[in-house]
Amino acid sequence: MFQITKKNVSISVLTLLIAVATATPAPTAEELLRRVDNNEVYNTIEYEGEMIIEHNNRRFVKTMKAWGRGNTHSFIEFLNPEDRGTRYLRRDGRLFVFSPDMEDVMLISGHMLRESMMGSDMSYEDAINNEPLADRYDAVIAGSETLNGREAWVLDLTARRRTESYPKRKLWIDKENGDLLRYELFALSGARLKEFNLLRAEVIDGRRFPVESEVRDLLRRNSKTTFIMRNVVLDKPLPDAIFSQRNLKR
Amino acid sequence: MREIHRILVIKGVYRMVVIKAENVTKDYALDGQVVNALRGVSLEFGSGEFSAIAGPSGSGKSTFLHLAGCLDTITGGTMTVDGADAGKMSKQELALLRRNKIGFIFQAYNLIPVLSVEENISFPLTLLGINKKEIKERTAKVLKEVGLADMAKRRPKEMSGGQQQRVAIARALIKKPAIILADEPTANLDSTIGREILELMVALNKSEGTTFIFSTHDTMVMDYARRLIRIRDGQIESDVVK
Amino acid sequence: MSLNGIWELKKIALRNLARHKVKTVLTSAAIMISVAVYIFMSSWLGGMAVESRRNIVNYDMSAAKLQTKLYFERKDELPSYENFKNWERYRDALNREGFNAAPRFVFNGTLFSNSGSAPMRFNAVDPAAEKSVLHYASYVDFGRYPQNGMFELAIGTTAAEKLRVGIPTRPRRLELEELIRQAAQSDTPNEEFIRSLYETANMSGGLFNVAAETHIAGNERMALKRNVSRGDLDRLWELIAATDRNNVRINAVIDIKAVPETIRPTLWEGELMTSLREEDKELVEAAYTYEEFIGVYLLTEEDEARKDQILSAMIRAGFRGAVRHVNQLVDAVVVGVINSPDPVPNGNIGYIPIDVLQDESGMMLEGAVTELLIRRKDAPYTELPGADESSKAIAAALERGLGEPLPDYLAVFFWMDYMKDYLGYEALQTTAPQVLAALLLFISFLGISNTILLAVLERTKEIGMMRALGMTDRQMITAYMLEAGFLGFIGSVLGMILGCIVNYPMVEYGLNISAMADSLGNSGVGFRVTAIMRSVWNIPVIFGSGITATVLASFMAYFPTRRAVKMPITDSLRFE
Repeated sequence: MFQITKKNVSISVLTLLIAVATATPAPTAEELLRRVDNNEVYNTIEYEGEMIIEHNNRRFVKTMKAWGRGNTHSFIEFLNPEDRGTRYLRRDGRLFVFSPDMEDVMLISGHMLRESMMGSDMSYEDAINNEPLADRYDAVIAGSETLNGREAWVLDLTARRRTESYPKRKLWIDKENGDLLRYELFALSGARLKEFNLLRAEVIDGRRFPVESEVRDLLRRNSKTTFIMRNVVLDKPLPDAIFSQRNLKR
Repeated sequence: MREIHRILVIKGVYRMVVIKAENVTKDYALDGQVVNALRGVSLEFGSGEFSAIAGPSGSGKSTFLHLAGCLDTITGGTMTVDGADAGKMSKQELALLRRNKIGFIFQAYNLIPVLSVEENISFPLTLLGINKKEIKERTAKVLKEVGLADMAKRRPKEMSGGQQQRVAIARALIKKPAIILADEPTANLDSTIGREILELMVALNKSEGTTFIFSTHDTMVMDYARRLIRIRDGQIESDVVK
Repeated sequence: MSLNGIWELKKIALRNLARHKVKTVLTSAAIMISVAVYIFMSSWLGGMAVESRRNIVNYDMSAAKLQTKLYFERKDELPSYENFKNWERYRDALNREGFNAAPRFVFNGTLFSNSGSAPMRFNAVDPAAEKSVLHYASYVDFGRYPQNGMFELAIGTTAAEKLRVGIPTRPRRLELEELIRQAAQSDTPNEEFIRSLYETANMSGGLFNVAAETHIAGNERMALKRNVSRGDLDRLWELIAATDRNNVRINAVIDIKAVPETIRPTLWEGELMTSLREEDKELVEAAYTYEEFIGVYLLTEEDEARKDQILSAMIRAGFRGAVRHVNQLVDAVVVGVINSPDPVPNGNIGYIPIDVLQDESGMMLEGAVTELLIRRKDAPYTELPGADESSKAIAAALERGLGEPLPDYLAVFFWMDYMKDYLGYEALQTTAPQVLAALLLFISFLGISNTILLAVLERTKEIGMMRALGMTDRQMITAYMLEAGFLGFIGSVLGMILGCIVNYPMVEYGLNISAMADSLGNSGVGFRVTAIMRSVWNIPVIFGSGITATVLASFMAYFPTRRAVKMPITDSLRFE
């Protein structure tokens, strides 16, 4: 019989305090989410990339060069023969595209944003929407899973506002290095719409980058788009002129 | 007024000038070349004349006749027809002049094939706007005068050359014109018929006092004419009143 | 010229026509045919236009719509966020005043079947109300119309074919065999039953064949037999419905209009302030406060009315942040395929009951509709809406029934206002063939011109003589124009008679072009017509074309005659 004596209580409290002090604190869902939001923080980035679209037993390889500043500005130019000259500029929350066929710059807005970008599994909306998840979603840790040999936290996200594009999301976060291993996007009814998988991450300048990843649009049959980043250069000063309309039209 | 003149003319008392040509010239273009058809012709014709202009082909006799009939315009000089200066008149005015004052008889009869004999004859009167009743009367009279009363309803193609020419004469006469210009009227007729026609015209000239001017190279016509004008190369050679 | 003179000219003209009977007959025959063709063509096109308008009203639009003005302004974009609630009030008011009203929520999306996907326009409807204003629901070829309370759809036959849903009408043999395998489930009588309904298709493609299909041995195209009974079709549908062939997924985006709680500075400066109207800027600026700590503009306005104003201002400016899009994916079943006389319901359209879409399992409609379709209760099927169904009349009736004026943001739109684009297109469609027919008419007049030219030439001497006799140029031209006019008149009168004779059966009985329409496919013709084409009587055109033909014919004589009278009389007389 455990007697509630003054001595017993103090020992229990002490043990508890030590346990608390020495144990590794399990992160909260919000913390995890914030960490994901803060991944890939850089001033500028420049890289060469590939977008490989596999759909209906056909394979398209699109090569590109990309520049970015913070989370707000990016410029991509496509280099493969079929798309050569197509350029995208994202800034001030807007997305512009230059089409060499039309020789004209177009603002992508309204329902056009839901269209697939260059026929890939990503929509324009997906590409430009990058407000911090922690602000938009309530997160709950649903458990742990092993994904490709890595231990991961599974997070269930529910949109705070009813106007959120994807009312539910699910995230798999690497327990050890915090990589976003996978995420799934859900419709209001709970049906799965899109899936992202990390294929390979690299450490560049002390930060972890998803240099190879894939996105699947689950509404399209047998469709997946793989993204590869090469020759990533971080925080090199980039002239503002890169992120200008003039640069689109040249 | 007209009637008085007519009677006076028949009586040989009064002579009116119906056509006065003064130094008339006529040029026309042929294949890029200018042809001088008339080189200064001066002639006068009085009412009641029965005159012929004779000459070889190309001499200008038909040309003069056509100018006198206001079918064409003169190049130079003056042509006065029934007091009116033809050179100063518009196409429309000339047409009206012809309608009222001038009758034509041609070598080829030129009857309107879709009209009957009496319709052909009365045509000039309808152009003049004369009322139906009068037209009918005058047509009947004139038909009798040319001896075709029983052919009134026939079509030209059913008739002989001589008969057709009579119709033409009737047509020319019916409007009681100041002048009748006949361009080789006997050329398509044999001599017997031709003679008949000429006799008819002589008779009408006497009874109506209408001026008849012929252009011809037919000696028979020349014989019948009371005045013979010879023309050659666009100029008058001689002018003889018998 | 006196009356006599004109009579004489007329006499000459008529006799000349009689003189050359063959020429007269041929030339007036040409005119007759052109006039008749023109009459027939415009009557036919007129009939098609009437038919397609009737179809628009009976199968697509009904007489009028009650809708928000803002929706109508952007109706081509289908701005589903410009909806309105409390539509039941208006429906009841209209019912009291003798009108039927059916609610609809229209939205765009994609329909996914097991075989593929297709972009679709979805009409969320009240099945019973739909049937009171439109008639397409009677044309469910296969299956049935959806019922309230179920996630089920009726789709157009074109969509059904593309998505391989429902009963296939022209499957290739391998596809048919696969279907039989799934549907019959090794039950031999069922297998035989299904096979008995199909035969090898006619490969030539029919009258308007664009590309004859290649015959692939072993995978030739089959066709559903035309004489299959309704009972058999129902049985076939049952068998197919038991497989997963009719299972579909609706992917759509729910547009929600909402004043954004927060706006990022880049969006505020870059997009919002640059596109707002001057008069709206103050309002919007007053409603937000820049929160330095978080680095966003925060909405501080509480007043709902002012928030609505701000929202309107933002939508007007096209500000993205004011309309949010929520992705939705819903499972459903196709229960019917529509094949109506009008191509619209037969196309990429799906009809789904509105009641299941009200909450988050659907489209979060929460009682909103994009429009109310209105038709008079006893409106006859064969007539177009009249004055008593004009927007004014309906709005007045609505206000009477409500006992108060219509809210400012709503308005009644007559079907013709809605269809201005189509009506413009239709005008274009009728213009082209009519221009063609007019061209035909014109060509036949070249024939007259030729005839007159020859006649004038032939009668040069005669003309010369008449001029010598004192006929003026003007009289000459009049005479020949009379002659040509007569020719035209004869042709016109005969043409009008012929046109009317041909038209009569076309108006009374029409022409059955089902076979042709079939091989063209639904959208081939360009008009929304039934398989029976009917003409209408168009009296003005009939007389108009006759008169025009006569006048034109007469006119054709002008130039040849004018040329003839320019010739010197002496030359005319000498002409051989």
